[in-house]
Amino acid sequence: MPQREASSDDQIVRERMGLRVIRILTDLLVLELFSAALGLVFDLPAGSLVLCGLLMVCLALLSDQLQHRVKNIGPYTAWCTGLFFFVTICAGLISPLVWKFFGFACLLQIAALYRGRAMEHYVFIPSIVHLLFPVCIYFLGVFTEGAGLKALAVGGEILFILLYLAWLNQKSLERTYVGASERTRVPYRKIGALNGGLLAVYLGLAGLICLVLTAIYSGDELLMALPLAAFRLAALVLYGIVRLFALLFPSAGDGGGTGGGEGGPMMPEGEPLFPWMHLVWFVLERVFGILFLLLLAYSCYRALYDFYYDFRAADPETGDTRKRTQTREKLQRIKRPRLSVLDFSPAARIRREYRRFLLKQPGREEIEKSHTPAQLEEVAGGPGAAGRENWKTIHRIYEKARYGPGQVTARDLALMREAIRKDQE
Amino acid sequence: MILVWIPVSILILYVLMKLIYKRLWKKGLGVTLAFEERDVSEGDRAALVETVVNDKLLPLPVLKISFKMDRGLVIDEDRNVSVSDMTNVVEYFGLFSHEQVTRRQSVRALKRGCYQILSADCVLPDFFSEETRHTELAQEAALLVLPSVLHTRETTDLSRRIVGEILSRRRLYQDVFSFRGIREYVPGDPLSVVNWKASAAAGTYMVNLRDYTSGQALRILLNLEAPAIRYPDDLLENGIRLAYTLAGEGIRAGIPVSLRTNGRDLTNGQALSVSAGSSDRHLGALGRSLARISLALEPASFARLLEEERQQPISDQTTFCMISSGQSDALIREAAALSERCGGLVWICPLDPEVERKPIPPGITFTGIELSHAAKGSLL
Repeated sequence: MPQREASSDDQIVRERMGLRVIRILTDLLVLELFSAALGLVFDLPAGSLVLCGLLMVCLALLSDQLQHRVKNIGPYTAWCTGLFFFVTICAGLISPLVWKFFGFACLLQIAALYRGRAMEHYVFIPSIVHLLFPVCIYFLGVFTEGAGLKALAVGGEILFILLYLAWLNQKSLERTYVGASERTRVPYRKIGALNGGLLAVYLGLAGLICLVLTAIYSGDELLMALPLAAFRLAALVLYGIVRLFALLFPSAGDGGGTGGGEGGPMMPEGEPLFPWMHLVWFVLERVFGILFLLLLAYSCYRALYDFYYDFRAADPETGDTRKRTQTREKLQRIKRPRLSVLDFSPAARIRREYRRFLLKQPGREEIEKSHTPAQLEEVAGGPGAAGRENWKTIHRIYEKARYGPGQVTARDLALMREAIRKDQE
Repeated sequence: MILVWIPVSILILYVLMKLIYKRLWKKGLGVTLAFEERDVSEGDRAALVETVVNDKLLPLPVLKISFKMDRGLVIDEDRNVSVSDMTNVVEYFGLFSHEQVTRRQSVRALKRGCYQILSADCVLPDFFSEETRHTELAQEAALLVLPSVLHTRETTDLSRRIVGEILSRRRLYQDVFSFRGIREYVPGDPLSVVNWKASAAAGTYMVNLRDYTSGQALRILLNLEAPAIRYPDDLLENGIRLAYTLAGEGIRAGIPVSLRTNGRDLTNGQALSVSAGSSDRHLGALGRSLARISLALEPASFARLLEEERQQPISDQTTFCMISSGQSDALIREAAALSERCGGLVWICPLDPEVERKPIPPGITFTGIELSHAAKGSLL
């Protein structure tokens, strides 16, 4: 069954890709922390910092490619030499202050690559040792009294920990995939989704704890730095989405954009032909924006709902049928038919009369919601009250109105009022 | 220092998650293995239904279920299977919270027997480490594989001949108190047997059918003692198939069939004995009884069985048919005594070149039959 074999191999390949991505991110994080720390220490301008960062990205990606694609030692050495000169020259062009440091970092990187090549295993695997690097940066920040370095250290520490945990999880999952690689009907997608979901929840929780702890323990220096950064990033992404959407609906204030004014007659400069169009577009923009957000929210809700509750379909990967179990039966509340204020039928009027009648009785304070009509009358009117003729009539007519409202007529209402009047005399 | 608190808090969270899974992963977890069919014949397919339930909020990303069953059952998707002395099946599931997953596996029954799955192992790999959590859940899945019917020319001829001889010995006198059915009138039927009501309803003359004053019965005695050292089990299995084939032929002809064998029932270890019956349901019960015979259990002495048969009251309307490969002196002696007691004995002997042939006493109708492996293979 070629399709199944491809699927299981793809899963293993993807899983190794997951590990590979984590290795690249670990290497990238180390290099970026190094670059950022160096930039902060030497007070490099923002543009140089960004360029250094991009250079480190190139270094990380090229190192990964070198690990996977080049096996022979000759080309390996040639590529490593080229990489060293590339990084050093670029760093020198960016800033003459720091090219030696970048050159040294590149040498360390190459040494690690050679070690991995000799030992025949991949390098830049996240480990506990990586946590010491942010600690060094933190102490450097304390020594130089640089708040930026401290923030960098804390952020790096958090990211290293999250990467390490993700690595452990992916290794555990790979073991499972390798064990299942020869099997059929393994729900790879479902396992991947479940694992990814749990990991995301765990890492999100871990990240949140880290941010909260940062806010609590760091004092004013780092109080707003990290949470603000995270918030700004999220806001930036959202703003970008909304801005892209808004581009579809040009503002009427542009004076003849693609939406409404192209080809249309225009008054002399500054005077649109139809002034009310501005208001219309203004309203439409806002309405579409709100509708879009509502649609987005509803789509997310619906997607999650369908994803979680769609148990009628068989799993396309394995053919398994799924069903949701329910541990508790929801107790359905007994719906009491409520008397509507707009109901003027004879039955409703009888019930209102009955209620008014009971509330005038001496025992009205002892009435409870759970009482039956007979209990209500006994409690409200006192013992023996229910035996009186008028009370019996009232009781009979009320029960008829309460439990068989369709059978009650205006005559019953009149009889009830008469019985109430006689009792009150 | 903040840099100490971050890893410590993450570690606490990790330990917490590990504790939660350690305490709660088994809660609400249920695994049920069951065969859809109660019994099938050799060579047929059955469906094994695996139901896994996770009745709690905690999802289980990967759950490995493994169980064992006898090699006589073969799973079609054999990539989930490793075969040693038993067939080991491994399945992988992923379970959301409050989810029940049902998976059906097609299995082929290669061999007669009673197949049970008594336990299933559940293994949950840890989320972050190599550690695994394990539990064992008891199961009650069982499948009976009935012996197949032999369709070779020799066996068909033999069984029909035996049944035909029994039928021909029926008395000609009918029992006026019994009622067997109704048929159309043929010239020569007396007026007394005409069923007037049925005739009015059918529009033509219909007559009553009466049963016979005495019924012929068939009693099969099956010997499962291996007559030689390292005697192949396949030949004993063929003996069981022959007994089932013969019983089926007799029941289809309306002859009450009973069976006794020295083979032991897997469930209680007792030698098997099935009382007489002539319905399809009885044939099914007989097949299920034969399915439960285990050749791994030491059979009782067949000579002793024959002696016990001889000592019991025997009807002269019962035909005894003995199926035995073995021809030991004690067996031949007891068979001769039984034959003398009941007025004749049919001995069907599955022939094997390794078993020495001995002279058969008079009074025993001996029939040797070749039941080779090819005969069994053609059925599957």
